[in-house]
Amino acid sequence: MSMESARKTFASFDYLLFGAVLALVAIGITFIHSASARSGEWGQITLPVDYAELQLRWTVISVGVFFIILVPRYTRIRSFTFAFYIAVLILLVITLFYGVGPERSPVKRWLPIRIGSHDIADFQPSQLMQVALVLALAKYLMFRKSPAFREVIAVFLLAGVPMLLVLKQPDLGTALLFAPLPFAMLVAAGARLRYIVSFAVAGLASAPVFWSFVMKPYQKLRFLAWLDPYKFEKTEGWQYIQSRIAVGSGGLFGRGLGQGTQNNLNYLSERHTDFIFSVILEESGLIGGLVIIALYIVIILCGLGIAARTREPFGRLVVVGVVSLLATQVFVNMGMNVGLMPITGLTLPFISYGGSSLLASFIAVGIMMNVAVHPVVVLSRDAF
Amino acid sequence: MQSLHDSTRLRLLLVFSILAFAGLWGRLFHLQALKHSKFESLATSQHSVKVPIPAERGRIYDRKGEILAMSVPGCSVFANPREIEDLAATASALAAVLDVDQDQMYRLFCNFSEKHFVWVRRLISPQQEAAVRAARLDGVYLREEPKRLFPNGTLAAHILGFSGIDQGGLSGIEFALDSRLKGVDGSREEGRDGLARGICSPAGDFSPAVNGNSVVLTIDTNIQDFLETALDRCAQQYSPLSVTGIVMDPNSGDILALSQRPTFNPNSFADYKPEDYRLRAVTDTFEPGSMFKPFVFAAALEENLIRLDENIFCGNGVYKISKRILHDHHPYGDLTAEECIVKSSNIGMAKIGQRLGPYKACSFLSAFGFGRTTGVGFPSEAAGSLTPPQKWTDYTVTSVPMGHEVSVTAVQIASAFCAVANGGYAVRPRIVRGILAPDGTVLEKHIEPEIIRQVMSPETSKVMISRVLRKVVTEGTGRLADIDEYEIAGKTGTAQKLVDGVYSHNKYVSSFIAAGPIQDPRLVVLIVVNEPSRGASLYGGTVAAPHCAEVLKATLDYMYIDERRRSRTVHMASTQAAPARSGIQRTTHNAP
Repeated sequence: MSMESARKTFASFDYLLFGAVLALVAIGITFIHSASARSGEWGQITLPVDYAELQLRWTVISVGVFFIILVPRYTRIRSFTFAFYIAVLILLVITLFYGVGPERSPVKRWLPIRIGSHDIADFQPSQLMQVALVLALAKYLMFRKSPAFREVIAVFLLAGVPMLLVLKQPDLGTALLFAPLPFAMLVAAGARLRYIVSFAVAGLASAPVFWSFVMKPYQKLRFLAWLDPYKFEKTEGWQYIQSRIAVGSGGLFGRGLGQGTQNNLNYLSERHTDFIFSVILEESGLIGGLVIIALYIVIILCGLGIAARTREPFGRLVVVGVVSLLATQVFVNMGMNVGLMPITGLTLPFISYGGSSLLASFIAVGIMMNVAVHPVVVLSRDAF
Repeated sequence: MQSLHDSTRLRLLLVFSILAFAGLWGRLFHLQALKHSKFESLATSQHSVKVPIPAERGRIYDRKGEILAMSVPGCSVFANPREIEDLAATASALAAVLDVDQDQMYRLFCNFSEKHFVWVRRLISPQQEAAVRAARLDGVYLREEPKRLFPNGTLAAHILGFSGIDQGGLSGIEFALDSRLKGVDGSREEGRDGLARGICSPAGDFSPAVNGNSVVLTIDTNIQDFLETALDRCAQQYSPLSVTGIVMDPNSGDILALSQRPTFNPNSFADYKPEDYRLRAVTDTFEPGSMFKPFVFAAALEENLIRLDENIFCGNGVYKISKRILHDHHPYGDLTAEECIVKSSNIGMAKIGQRLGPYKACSFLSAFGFGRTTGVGFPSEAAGSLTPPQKWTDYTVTSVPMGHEVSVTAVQIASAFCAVANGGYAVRPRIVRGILAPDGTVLEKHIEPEIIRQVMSPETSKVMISRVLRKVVTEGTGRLADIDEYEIAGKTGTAQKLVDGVYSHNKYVSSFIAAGPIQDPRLVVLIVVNEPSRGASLYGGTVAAPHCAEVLKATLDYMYIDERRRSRTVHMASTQAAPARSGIQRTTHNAP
């Protein structure tokens, strides 16, 4: 990288975006500590590990990966997008046969990476698919100004096939993330709103079919428990009730860091991962919730700002896709924490504990930032 | 047509996401600002639990400080079915150890599989406790619980009653004085985590349990034993439906012993029928028959309506009243008034009753306490029945003096007889001698007799005991009660039972009531045998009198020995400073 391009990079680096991300990570580590290691007034029962330290290590790794992603010009991968998409699609199919899930469950979600007889890591193809799908849709839509109806159908097929494969695993949470993506990208690509709305309506109308043919009994039970948690008070409804109590008892200013009874007394489960937002709301109250929502809106604003500044259509669409994925995940996770959404296994980007979750979120921001720091001059007929 | 470069579409996306997050924030506002107090109290109510601290139930003592009922630590088994992995295996393991049905245990677990707590078996034996401990089953726990123990088994069972599995009194003194015995449970606030495990709470409320008070009864275990031994022998000899016996101190009204057969064991009351543990002496009424004669006779003496040596013509066994003909067991011509009692002449008593008249008879009988409850303090006491004088017929006035058309309870007649024996005053029968606080402080003390009224003069009382009723024992119907050691007085009763409205000729209530020694009566003993069914003679003088005398003799022996021993102790105590005595002994130290 020449001095000139380095100077340009620093000039176009979105500090606000990066700052918001780091703030969220810092808040995350603080509350992971509260949820896993700090002994509150009630004391005694804590998880055996302080996950905050581990999360700090993952942060260092993720930030490193983030900067590495900034180096290559994003336009170089344009030509490989479909090949990449098809390769990940094949991985998803393989996962359905050879995948593994949590112990003693029939779920097939991860591909174990083995060297000899050693398990190195579990790899989740559905997370890779999110990136592959964004790239494939961006590639497909980049030269189609105002896509025709048949092209809109093609977009939904591109998104729908991997979505069905992920549903089959079954992983409702991740599959749900695929749903808003084609809509957001079609909006950004300038498709007729009437097409988009008609697909949204069709999607909602197919919900009963979805309910009776796709949903597994345990998923239906979770859904019913969401509608009436007290009917399943000690089973499926437990987490809904407990997270609601956590959020509600937080009040305006919260019980104070490490003072949440729902957190410290084991009423909430998954509290350092999927339900970290409940812990934050219990301990920092409405004010804390407001700050975090504001930080995410900053990220969305910055992302859409990058998209607006990018004249090159592929990069622009990729950024919109990545922002839509992040925003969806944030919304679904927060929604299930406050009882607006049924519980699906989704983490809160940048905040929840988890190496792969943090890494994936930083890769997403890395892609956005890459587009920002590698401007491509486009001669367009309606430029400027 | 909008182009790819048009930022309008991006603004649309921005507005859409901000709206979505605004909705989310609205939800936060709803939960955290509007519903905050509701959720806060929900949080508090689930993580702080009030755990009761059971109060220790008080003891029951006899008048000498002997323990009749006490609570000891027992052990119960409960389970947390959510912690049990294999319900069937645990159920079968428990069933084997606790000797219960395996299927029943499994069904219990299945029904409670979503719960955190279910009782498996309450108050198991120490052997079972050890076996459960040894089995080391997941989700199965032991909890210490108080268990009511009656160390003397069946002794005084009907007086004591029993209490249920949760230590609530269900019958007898345990029921009657439950509020004094049970104490007040305390509580402490305890933290509960999400897995229902208890954790220590830093600022939990704590209120200590107030243990129950102890009750000291007027019963003397030794006298109770004499009475029960006699009742056992009587029941064995005559196979009656039931036998009831009472020993009272006529001067204080203290019930020294009270029992009945058949009996039960309060340690395992559930194995018995309810009629076995009903306290018949206060709940059951009967027609007393001839045993009732002394009360009417004493009334007539007190009113100067008869002289002891005046002749009363007894119609040679036949006396016609209106359309009814009255018979005597043995026909007599002239009898002195005294002999009417001694020989138990119905006709003689009927004539004395006619002389007395309904109003005077009734006022004396109710002064003796008939027709109303005695207030002895047992639950469901019966009042008996005494027809009001304005409703008396020609028959009533002749039936009542021989103990018919009137019904009494055993406690009632024993108490009334106390008035005959003690110089003429009606005294309230008493079962509770005192109440002690858990630390031994005396809260209540009932030593002085509660005198209700003077029924007759001391002279009449003296004549009744040492002359008229003495003669019943020496030369009348109660000769089998005549013992060498003590001079006692008494009266027999053999009442035909009413069966379907007709007086039966083979079903009797045979009884004997006695007082002694006649110089200064210290005891009243009553034995009522309900339907004796074996033996040549079923008269009260045969069936009840000898047992009555036996109890009297044993008790008087015991009391004299006890007093001699005590006077020695007092002598020693005055010479060498005796150790401080506890409250129990203080109350019980007063002689009966």
